[in-house]
Amino acid sequence: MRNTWLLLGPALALELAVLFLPLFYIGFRSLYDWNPAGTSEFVGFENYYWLFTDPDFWEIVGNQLFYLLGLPLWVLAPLAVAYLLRESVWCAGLLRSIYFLPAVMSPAIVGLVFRSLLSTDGSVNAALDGMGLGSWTQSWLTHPDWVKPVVILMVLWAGFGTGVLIFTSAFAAVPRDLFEAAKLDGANFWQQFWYVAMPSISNTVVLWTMYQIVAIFLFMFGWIYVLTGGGPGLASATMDFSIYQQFIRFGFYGTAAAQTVVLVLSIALVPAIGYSIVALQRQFTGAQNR
Amino acid sequence: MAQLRIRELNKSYGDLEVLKDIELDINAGEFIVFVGPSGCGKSTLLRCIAGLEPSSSGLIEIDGVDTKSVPADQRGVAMVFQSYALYPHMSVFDNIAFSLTLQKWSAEKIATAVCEAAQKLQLSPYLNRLPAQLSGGQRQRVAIGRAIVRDPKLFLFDEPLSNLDAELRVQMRMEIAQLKAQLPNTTMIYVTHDQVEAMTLADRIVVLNEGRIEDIGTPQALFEKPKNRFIAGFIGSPKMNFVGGEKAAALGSHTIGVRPDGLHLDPRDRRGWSGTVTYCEYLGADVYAFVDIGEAAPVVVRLRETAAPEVGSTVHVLPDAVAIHRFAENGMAEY
Amino acid sequence: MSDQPPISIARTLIAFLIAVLFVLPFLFLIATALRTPADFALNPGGLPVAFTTANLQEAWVAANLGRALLVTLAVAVIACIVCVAVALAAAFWFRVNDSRFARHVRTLMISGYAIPAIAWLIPVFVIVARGGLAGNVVVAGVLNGVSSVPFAIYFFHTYFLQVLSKDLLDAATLDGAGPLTCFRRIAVPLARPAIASVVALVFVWSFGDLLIAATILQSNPDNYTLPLAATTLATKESVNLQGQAAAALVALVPVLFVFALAQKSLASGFGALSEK
Repeated sequence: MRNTWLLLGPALALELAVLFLPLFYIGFRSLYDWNPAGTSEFVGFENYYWLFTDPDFWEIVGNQLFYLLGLPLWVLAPLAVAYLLRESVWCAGLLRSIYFLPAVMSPAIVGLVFRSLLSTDGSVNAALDGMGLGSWTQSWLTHPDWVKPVVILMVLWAGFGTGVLIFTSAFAAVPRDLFEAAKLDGANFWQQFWYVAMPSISNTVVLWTMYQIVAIFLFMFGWIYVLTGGGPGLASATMDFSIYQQFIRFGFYGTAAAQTVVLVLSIALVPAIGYSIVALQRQFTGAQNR
Repeated sequence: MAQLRIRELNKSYGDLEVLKDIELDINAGEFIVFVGPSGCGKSTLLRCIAGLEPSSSGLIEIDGVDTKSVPADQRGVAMVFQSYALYPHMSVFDNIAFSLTLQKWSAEKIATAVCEAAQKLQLSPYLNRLPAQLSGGQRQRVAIGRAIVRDPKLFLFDEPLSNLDAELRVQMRMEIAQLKAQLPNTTMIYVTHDQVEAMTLADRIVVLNEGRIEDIGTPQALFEKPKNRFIAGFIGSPKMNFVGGEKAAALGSHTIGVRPDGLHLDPRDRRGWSGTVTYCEYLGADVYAFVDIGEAAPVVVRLRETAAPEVGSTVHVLPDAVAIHRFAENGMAEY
Repeated sequence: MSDQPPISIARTLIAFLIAVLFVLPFLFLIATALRTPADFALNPGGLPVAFTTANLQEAWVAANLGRALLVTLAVAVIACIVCVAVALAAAFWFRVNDSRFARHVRTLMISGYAIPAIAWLIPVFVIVARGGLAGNVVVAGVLNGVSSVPFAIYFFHTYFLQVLSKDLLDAATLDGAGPLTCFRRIAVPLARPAIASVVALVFVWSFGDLLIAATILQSNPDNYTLPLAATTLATKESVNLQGQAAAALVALVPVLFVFALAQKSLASGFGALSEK
């Protein structure tokens, strides 16, 4: 049995070395005035003090929370469209592939595409002008009020196809008889959606929601870095982007470490929230069954 | 040729005791069937013998050798699984040859052994197919072929027929009986919950219940002289009828048991237990009447006269004196 | 088979309108990349009339996109090899070992997915830089691979639960196949479709990665990946929209190629999310 460690060993070692142990290291370093190139001085929780008293940090936290407002959109839009495509749509498979295209593209490249489309002298504004809607033109990416909604829509654009795909396979796993029985009972299209489809795939919905929440904390770097550079000011910056900036650009190593610790801890809360949603749901359906 | 000796074998998962004090001797070349309701531990016992499951305590000896430290593949044991467990990506030939390949046999020797096994099992035309391209019965034969090329001392079957449809099951049952005849020196242990398979195949049947061995005996002995109520009720189909209370007391017992063919309807409707016919099951050669005589379950009567009574009519059920089994209050048979 | 319900025109129409939103940006991108700056300046929102490949050529040279393409391919291939090799073996180990301890380790290793890349990347970068390996393509490839290991373990393990029944593993044990033999002779061949999915996904992810590249490879312009080269080019003030679009286009083409080639595998990979 000993030689079976050959199977687990490499993965375990790599994950520990690359993903887990660095977290402890950064937690340790967040207590120092960290200078990777020279000597670091122990400062206790001073980095955290500076971080929590820094209005910039709270603006970024505010951005993250603002982005979470996109959550209903990111979940419901693919859910509804996946249901719509379930039957009676011509070329549903091809359409799903088209929606899915952005999922394979680099967020950086997606950011680049939208940047050239949405820049003040870009195609979107030009097209609006051309259609006689000149008053609708906006500096989409450089106006603090517009930039966050634009990012939310772009996240929708990028994740939509994946969501449709996931909900489609979840719907496919629901037995057809269930829909047919509901039809015979006189349920219309959206009643079937609400009373048959949704309860059958509620686990997938919770999972996808959690995935999107995590993604908002985890995978925003490429888009923000290219699309807005976090700007105007810090109006669109996310945690991962700001940590990167502080570390690579500005060299505020200690506070970058403290901010990393805060980010990791807040992500650790997400599954806890997810589990309690599922638990609540179980309790609720359990109460109904009784 | 293998003798098997099991002493004080226990197996538990945490607090759950699955096998309790199993004591069992199996002679070389015997065909033994483990039978019992689901969850009785019969499959676990088989897996302990195979070495796929460690026992918690006790002794398993194959040919006088304690198997405690012998890994599964070196016990000389082959097994046929309920789900066939064929390697889906390998051809029939490769499936059968796999164990020999791992033992580094030469290509010619492997080919000879596989072809011989295939011939025995009428698989020769299918050697290049994948398992997915075979019928259920053919897959089961491949699984058997994979076992016999290893020339095992102990041949284990874990409910091998339960995934097959009724007709195929009868056919495969016959083929397994023929296989046993071809391999008179191989000890075979066969696990099933189907007591017809147990009756038709076994030299001796081991009846398990809740992790214990209830009794061991030839099919005939278990059928004719069941040791207790559990075995009486488990062996035989349709099941034995049990009658308690006054009716049993009148015959001098706590409970009496009579199989359906030990009962008949009194043609003059005078003697015996009176009751209402609730249902008649017409099976062609046989007719079974279900008669409610006021017991917990209706008694089943195998009718010898062709005319079935009407449902709802009142009849009198009469047990044949020689067919009566008597059981004491503790469930043990009284002879 | 039950007959298909009739096509609904309204629903089809809605679905196609949504599809337009996904196709349009690409058309704009291609048009912008391929038209002359003068034509664009004249009518930025309209249809292009004057075409040129000059933008593409300029971007190709200015951002050294040819070399970037090779570097990105190297990163992606290394990532795929590292990720599949270690995750497949680990997932098999978890399939065979189902003790409580093994389950805890499995949960831990899968939860690694939720660690933000930036959190581990910075300390790793510090160590890598201290070791003089900043700007190293192999390091970038390995890190990309490891970052996908949690997902790959989850995916392979789910797959093994389906294809490697307990009976099958027992049969292999009785046939004399130890864990390593069973892995090599049975699990790996059976996992081929799952391997295809994970390779497709990891390829796409590491091909598109910007964060690891921008951290590890930033210091060495010779080893820029396509996303890094394209975005670096695009953030230069001097480069016009056509040049940016051209760089983006070059970076997109290989991925579109993979998409066309491995769409099924990709789809089943993403679909894994819905299974639990």
